[in-house]
Amino acid sequence: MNVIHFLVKDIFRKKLRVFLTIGGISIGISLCIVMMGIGESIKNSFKDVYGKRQIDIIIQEKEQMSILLGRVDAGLVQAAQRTPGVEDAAATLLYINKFRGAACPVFGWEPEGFLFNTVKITQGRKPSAGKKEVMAGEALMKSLQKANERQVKIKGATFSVVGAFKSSSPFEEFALVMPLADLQAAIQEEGKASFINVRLKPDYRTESAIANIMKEIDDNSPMISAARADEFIAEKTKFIVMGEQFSLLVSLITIIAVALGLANTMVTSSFEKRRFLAILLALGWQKIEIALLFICESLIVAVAGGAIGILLGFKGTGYIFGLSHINAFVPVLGVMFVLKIVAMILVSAVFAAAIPAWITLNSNPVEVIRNE
Amino acid sequence: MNKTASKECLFQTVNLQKFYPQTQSFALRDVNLTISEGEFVGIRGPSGSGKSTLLYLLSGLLTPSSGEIYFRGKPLENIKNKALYRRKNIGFVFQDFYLYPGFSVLENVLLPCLHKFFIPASLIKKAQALLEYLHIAGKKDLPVETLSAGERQRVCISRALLCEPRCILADEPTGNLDSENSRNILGLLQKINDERKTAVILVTHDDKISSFAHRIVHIVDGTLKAG
Repeated sequence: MNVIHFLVKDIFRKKLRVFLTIGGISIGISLCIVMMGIGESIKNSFKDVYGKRQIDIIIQEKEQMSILLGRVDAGLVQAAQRTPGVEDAAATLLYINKFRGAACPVFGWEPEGFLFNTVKITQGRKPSAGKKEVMAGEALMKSLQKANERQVKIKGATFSVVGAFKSSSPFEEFALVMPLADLQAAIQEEGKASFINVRLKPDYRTESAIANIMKEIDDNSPMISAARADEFIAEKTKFIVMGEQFSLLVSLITIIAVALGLANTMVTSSFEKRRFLAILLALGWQKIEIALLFICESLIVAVAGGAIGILLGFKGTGYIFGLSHINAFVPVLGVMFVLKIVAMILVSAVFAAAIPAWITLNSNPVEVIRNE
Repeated sequence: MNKTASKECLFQTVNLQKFYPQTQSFALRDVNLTISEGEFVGIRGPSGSGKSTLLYLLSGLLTPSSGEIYFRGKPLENIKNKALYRRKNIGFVFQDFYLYPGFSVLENVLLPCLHKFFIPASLIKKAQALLEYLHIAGKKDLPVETLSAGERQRVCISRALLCEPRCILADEPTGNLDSENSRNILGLLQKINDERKTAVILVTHDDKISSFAHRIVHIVDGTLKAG
């Protein structure tokens, strides 16, 4: 027998109230997880595209904000490859295709470029140039197979899906990849790329060497600019960061609402137990021990609600990413993310317990014993 | 320290006064009382005479407006941790029992020690032994609300004895009991006083107290009366 046994027994004496409180906490926490999870997953999806491929520099159209609208000459790949310190360069053309009413990214890669080597082909084969062939990310492939489809339409032209790939980037899981020239032809942008990916030799991955190489690339043409890959990602994901911050703000408001709901339950509980708490003081309990009793009670309710909320949140995030209109992203919710949520739950519980503890610690036990 | 306050004394009050600002009245006036270790003292008086206030002052739950309380020769005001003082030295028995509904008899007896995260088996044994001593062990697993008034008061006394206090402060312990149960409870308190040498300070209206207590003290309008 211990104090937790006592508290759990006491809490579940009021079944309806505890059920409603735990329900409220679960919904609040799951909502936070879904909102923060979406922001975090989308940001990670973008980061992974470049980070895991060891791309150091991106060459893009000068002063063009949009990754979709920016265009550079695909022939810059050869010029970049000739630059001292560059190990390899590859062009990417990005087009967003409509697929069952949702956005489906289509990447055009050079057939012999290093980008094809960064994905693992899990079904079929790599698409051949000039044959109107594409390969699909695993998530998209599953969706196609479910509908028993083996073809996709891009700008009115039909392409055969000849393979599936697993990408290091969740962003590409619901994407199509095809030879660069075929995509250029399909969208009538011959010789164009959205940007050029540049990989440096290991010895040149220093701040000064990268700066020198970027200057050399910039000097080649007034129409282009070179950016470090991490800065490029930060620039292109600004809208995601804003979205993430908004999600965080809404999550914080939700957490505050959860904490206030829990505090309300705790205050009600403390008023019901006023006399009992006064008796505990008469029996020799110290005020700090009574405050701890409240904190334990609040933690038990918050942890129960939080655990259910985390499960619901993860399920909910998975479900939302499974919906067709945003399934370009796959949830990436790591240990740190869960720890953040757990920390928020614990802080809320302590906050909720602080109010009734303060009320109890400031009441006169004799008055309570005599007058109630 | 007051010269007359000594170690043999459990409590000594010197010119003890308690004034309630809310009602602008004195609950106690110049109370000088000495209670020895192991003594059974009955405090009688009409309602509102200040009997319960005296108990709460002795327990440290209330602070005097003026005057002194000595516990075993030491001024009570010098004891910083009053909760610890109560836990070690005082056992409370109430008229309304104040048992926690929904919990078993045994759980209620263990309440004073529930602040410990884990309750050791030895303490549970001790609680069971107390229930045995007070002839209620057979009901240890029953919820307290299923017990009769007399049985509830026994649970309340067991709870008061758990930490082996030097003194039991009983506030109208027979107020909710019939005549037979009152006699039984007073008999039990007398037995505890005799066998365990635990002092009992009992506030009551009950006339029967005179046949159980060593000494009866009368309070009228907050003042001690001879008798």
